Amino acid sequence: MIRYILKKAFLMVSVFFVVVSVTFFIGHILPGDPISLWVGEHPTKEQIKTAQKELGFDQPKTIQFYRFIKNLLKGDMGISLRTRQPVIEELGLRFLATQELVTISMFFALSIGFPLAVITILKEGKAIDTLIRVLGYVGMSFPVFWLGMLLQIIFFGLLGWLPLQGRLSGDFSAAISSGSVFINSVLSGDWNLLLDAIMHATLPVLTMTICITGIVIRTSRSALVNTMNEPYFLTYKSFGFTDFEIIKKSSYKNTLVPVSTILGLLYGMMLGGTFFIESIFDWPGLGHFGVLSITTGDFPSIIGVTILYSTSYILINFIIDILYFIIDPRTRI
Amino acid sequence: MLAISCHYKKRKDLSSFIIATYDDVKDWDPSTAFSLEVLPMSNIYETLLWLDASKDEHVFHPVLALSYTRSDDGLFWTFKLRENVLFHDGSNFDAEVVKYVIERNQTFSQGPSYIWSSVDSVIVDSRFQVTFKLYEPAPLDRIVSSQYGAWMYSKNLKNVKPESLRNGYASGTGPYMFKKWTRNSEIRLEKFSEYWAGWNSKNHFETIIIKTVSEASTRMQMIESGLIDYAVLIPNQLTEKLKKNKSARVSYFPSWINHFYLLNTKKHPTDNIWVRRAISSAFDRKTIDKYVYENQSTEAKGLVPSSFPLFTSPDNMPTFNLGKAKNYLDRSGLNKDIAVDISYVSTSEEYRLTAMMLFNNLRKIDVTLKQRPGLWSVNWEKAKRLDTAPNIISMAWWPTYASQSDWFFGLYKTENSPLFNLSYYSNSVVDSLMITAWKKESIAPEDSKKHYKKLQEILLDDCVVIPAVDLKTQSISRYDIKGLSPNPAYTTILVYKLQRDQ
Repeated sequence: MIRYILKKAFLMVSVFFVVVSVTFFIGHILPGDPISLWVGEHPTKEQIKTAQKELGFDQPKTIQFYRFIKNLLKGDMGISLRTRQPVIEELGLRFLATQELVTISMFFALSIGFPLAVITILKEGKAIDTLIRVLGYVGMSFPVFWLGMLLQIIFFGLLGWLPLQGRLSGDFSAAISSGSVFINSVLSGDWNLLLDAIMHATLPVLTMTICITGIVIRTSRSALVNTMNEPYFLTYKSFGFTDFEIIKKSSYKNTLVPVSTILGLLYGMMLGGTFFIESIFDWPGLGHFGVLSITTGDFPSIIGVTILYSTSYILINFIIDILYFIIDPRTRI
Repeated sequence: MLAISCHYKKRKDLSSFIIATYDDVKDWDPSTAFSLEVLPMSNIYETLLWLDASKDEHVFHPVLALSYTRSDDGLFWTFKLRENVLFHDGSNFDAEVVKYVIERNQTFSQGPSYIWSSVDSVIVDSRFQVTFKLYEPAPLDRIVSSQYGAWMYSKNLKNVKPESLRNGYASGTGPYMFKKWTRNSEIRLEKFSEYWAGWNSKNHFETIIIKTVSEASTRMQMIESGLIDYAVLIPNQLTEKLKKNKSARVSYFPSWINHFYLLNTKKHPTDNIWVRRAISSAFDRKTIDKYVYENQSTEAKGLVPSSFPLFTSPDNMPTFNLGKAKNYLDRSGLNKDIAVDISYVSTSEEYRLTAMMLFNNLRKIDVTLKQRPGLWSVNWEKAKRLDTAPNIISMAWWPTYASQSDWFFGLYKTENSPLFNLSYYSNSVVDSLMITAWKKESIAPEDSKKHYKKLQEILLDDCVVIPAVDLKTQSISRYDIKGLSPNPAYTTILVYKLQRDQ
């Protein structure tokens, strides 16, 4: 087990270093003058020269890379040219907001999607099966941007039940500006804050959940179909067990490997794919920050975001590898 | 049930003025802030003078300076300062503060600090009188009323750690004081009870909340529902819907921002003046103003916005005439198959449509226009190198302070390696004329006016630039907000002057 983990950990560090190097050099050869972001709209030549010196952009790329790696090891990713805040702080503030949004959506998508997939298997070919599958496809087909705005119009514009945007109401957002709002509110016993956070998270979570539940249904269903064709399943059946009993007792375990692979990738994809939802709902997360950094050429932030995403991906895959090890005895051989 | 259900559409506190803008501030230092910071800062800080450019006759109003005089040669400017003015941190405003602020601002090499480059020294005559000694005559009244880099701030700023400043700090003399900044979410300002101008009206707003709402459609829903009082920058297609909503008011005011196109004078084939003239004659400014910009602009009458101080329209503004364009092209001596390229900011629909229109017009005179949309930072970097520079580049410009010199120095002064002179234009007559015009702005304004007109005429004659439009500023507020008045000199909202109609 330890040898397996060490092997995966070494691979993880190597991938991380390659990603950092590639991102750094691509970030530096992208067209555009990042200094213009730092010095403002109508800079003078002197201002540009001073800024280049201040930010170390006048040095050769290899020296810049060496300094970058040295600082990175100390936890310093430089200053965002767009917001003028340390990149590490920006990422710290936003990562938890995005993670909160994605984790809650994932929880609901799984809680709804997996049982629905089981129902489609048990009621295969019947109306309920068709209905669930159609709903899954419809959910996946909705453009996120359109769906988010539609939900805003209904639940804020027409009904006034839910807030339009933001992570918290004004008074609360002044009190807590970072971290996991849900965990903070529970730990501090501030139930008003928790309620406010739930109300604000409802529309973005609903939008995201609708969009990914279809993927969960499809993935789980296809994994279940495969397991139901396995010889052991037919053996169980010959002993008189119902499909539901077999799935409950045994088959679901066999679906865990393919489903967890897809879910791991999906989770990583969602962390980076929240741009539209964060934009529509003004959710102060990483997706929106990442896209703005790319469109404005803020390369210290681009590098920071890429490192964070790739680290998340690598970590998620590392955890999945460990899970394989635990779930599937064949990997231990 | 209905009351509960509409909870989120109800405004709890009508004594707050809530603004939704599209991006957050990034610099809390009043000496270097050079962008959206003007919105909170103009309510927190004050300048020595305030320029009212809302009418044809531009007037400087006293703010922290009660009056000012200047020597005949324009080198010495004396300001009598207002007494009994307190900063939000409790310290006093006086001549020493003015000296401190200007000297500190001069030490920076970023943002608008360059506006003080003509100031040699600041002499404290008495506690409430200060004299500026200049290296050369400069329009100091315009400089001290700038919306960038001219705010008076407390001397206690020197004790503020960079980290605190980075996390939001401000201490000015203005009507509202900084309370809280929640990054990427909102800025909260509160009424400064000891404001020197007092709080005589009961209807003043107690609090200002500036929210960062990145999505325009969300800002629109907020203004429609009354969650906010003022929305910044909503696209034209959305405002059309908003205009039908009686609870919101959509207005357009003149601004000092203009759009134009620079023609590269060193790159083939636009290094040929007849080709440049042909392109200029194929540019249908009237149609572009009417159909591309719709109600967001007025047709350009010169190289700077027509509402600008000391502006006179040049006599040789180019007009759209394809016959003339064809004649110019014939005189160019170039063979057929002439191709030019245009780079423009891809995020602007107006630039894209303008390029399309120019493409169609040039095609009629057998000129091919290659379109190269891109991010401004990319376009700019390419344009600074002659081998990658386009023949035509879209530009938007606005002044740091109210002087036409900003356009001429920035865009047409001879440069060995271009920064914003992206037409690669070099003319010693123009260079000296712009310096003279600038120096005479305050000591001989009529002369200055003539020089600026002459400058425009030379540049148009050499076909260095194609003027397009003067932009208008959009103002979207709730129906019950009173007191919003246009002033192109400032791109902000002075909440102290606003009231909610009772």
